[in-house]
Amino acid sequence: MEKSASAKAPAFSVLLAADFPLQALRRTRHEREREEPLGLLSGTHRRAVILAACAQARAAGVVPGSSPSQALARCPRLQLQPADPSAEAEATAALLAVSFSLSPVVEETEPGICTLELSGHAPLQREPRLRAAVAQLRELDLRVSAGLAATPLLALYAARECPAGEVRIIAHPRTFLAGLPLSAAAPPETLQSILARWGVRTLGDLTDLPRAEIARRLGAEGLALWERAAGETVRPLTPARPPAHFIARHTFDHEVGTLEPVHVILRRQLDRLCLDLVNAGLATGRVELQLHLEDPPDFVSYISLPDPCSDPATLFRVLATRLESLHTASPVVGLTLRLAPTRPLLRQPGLLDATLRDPHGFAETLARTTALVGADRAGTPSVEDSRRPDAFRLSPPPALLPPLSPCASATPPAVLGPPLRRFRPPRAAWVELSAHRPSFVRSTEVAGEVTACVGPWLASGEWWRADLAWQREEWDVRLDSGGLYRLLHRPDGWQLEGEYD
Amino acid sequence: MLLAGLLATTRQARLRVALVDAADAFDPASYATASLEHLVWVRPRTPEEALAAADLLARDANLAWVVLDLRGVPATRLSRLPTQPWYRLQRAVESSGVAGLILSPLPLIPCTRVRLRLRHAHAFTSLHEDQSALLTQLQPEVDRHRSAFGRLAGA
Repeated sequence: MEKSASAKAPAFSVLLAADFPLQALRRTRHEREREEPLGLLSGTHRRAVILAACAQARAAGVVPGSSPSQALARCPRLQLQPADPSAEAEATAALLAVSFSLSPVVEETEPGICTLELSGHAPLQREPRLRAAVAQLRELDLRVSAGLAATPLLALYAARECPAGEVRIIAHPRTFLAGLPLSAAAPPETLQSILARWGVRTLGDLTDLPRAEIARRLGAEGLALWERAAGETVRPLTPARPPAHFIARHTFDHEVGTLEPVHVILRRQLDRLCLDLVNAGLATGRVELQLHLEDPPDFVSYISLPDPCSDPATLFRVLATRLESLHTASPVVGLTLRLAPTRPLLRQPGLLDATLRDPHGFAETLARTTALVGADRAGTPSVEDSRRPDAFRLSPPPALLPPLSPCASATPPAVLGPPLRRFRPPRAAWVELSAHRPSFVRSTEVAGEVTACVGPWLASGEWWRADLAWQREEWDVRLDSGGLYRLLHRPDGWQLEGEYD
Repeated sequence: MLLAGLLATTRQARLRVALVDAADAFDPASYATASLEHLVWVRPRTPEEALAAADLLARDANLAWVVLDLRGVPATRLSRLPTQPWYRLQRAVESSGVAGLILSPLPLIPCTRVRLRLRHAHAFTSLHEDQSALLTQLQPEVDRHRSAFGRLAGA
């Protein structure tokens, strides 16, 4: 009976990232820069003061409210930066993403604080899952503390009282509250002095006093404070909405000329976006990366994946490969990453399917090859539906190779003649004619007497478009050297188009 | 012609082929449409780029064959290529299990296991013959055949 009662009892959790703006800023820095002490400035103006400082800086004597020169005198290695709204937005999104992996009812209580309703979890599962969430946030470079209690307020007190990286569970609220200082309930200044004169120092001291008497003597403010001190009220949460679009943006605080800072931000964004995708039961099939440059236009890259993917490491490898050979005309000032959601592939591959062994490894190989030779110079060729010579297009290789149709495999369509090896562009040739037929050919590739020839094969097309109209006359010739060649006669002269293999 | 035969055979077996075409001479219109579906055609600008691309592709076990076609590249350019990348390429195909085929106008690769010399002089009538029939006319001569355990066997 007791077990079922506790399973039905409300349970709330709070994930709290202390010094949130500072943590958000730290996440955007490279690993080796994170070792340096960091301070948060109130702005970039002359009268800016320190708003927050990391533990290392605080240990050196840097206190909030001091001027930058005072702070630097106490901690010479201190890095000072103003708050970064895009970094805070990304850190908030990461906190929400991990929260949504725990519960569908999540409230963004304050910047760096999320309240979750965990009543749906079995009591024994709550603590391990919270610990896993704290560890996951640690991997996303957010150090949070977590509180678990019967009401949102108690959970918040617990999270505040708990060191970063830990989970505090409140099983006996009265015992826990008895030792908390009165300041934990944020008393109004007017009441603070009165209560101090009464000798009320802790929340327990206050809740020991009768609620009705507090209300009679201190009014509505006193009653609200008593209720906050008791922490028994279960307020309804204002649920946040899970993201509908999988987009991350970042603005650098300075122009970036190397890939390293871009990689750091991309990895952070991918970790969070992939978590959002997994929470929504989705994966991505297409990645769009836009690098905002100091001088427009921006660099935009679209990457189609061979298989839907929600693994941040794989996506990062694909993006890093694409960026390897990138040279921009001006420095990068920001970036936007969009993942197009799609359903993950749930079909079990057939025994005889000719699918890729490692689709993402293949995509990476292709991306590397494309980066080496150029985007328009690698892919699976197909002949265009046109009679224009050498009309083909390159497209990404298919993920699945379909079997040849039975009739095609039995009697494949006959292709006549040896394949042509083209000279791109065709080589200029000097051709001697005899009875209106080529009798001698000379070009940079080959020279010789024509021992046999067939032609002319006349062709023309797109005559209705002045810029694309073409007309040609082909001859197939055999030279005395033994090779078979294709000659081309155009209004501007003779050309050697290719050699038969 | 050898390439045409390879593309037809691998398509039947549903194996993927990468062609690194150093001279950019491949003509898709000369092949059956089905023979192109499993092909990754790479068109490098220089022989050095071609070697680097072949090296990348040879490490991907999703491919069954990597063909490096150096025909059409001037012999002077080919002779200037360093020898180390060939050994690197050999190690790459050995570790990934990808089969490597290099088509070159002269005996160039020092570490090849099998070297075939293909002599062909098509008759003028071959222009109207079926490709599969022409393939049977290819007469490869084994120029070199070195066993993987050649030294051991020799000892």
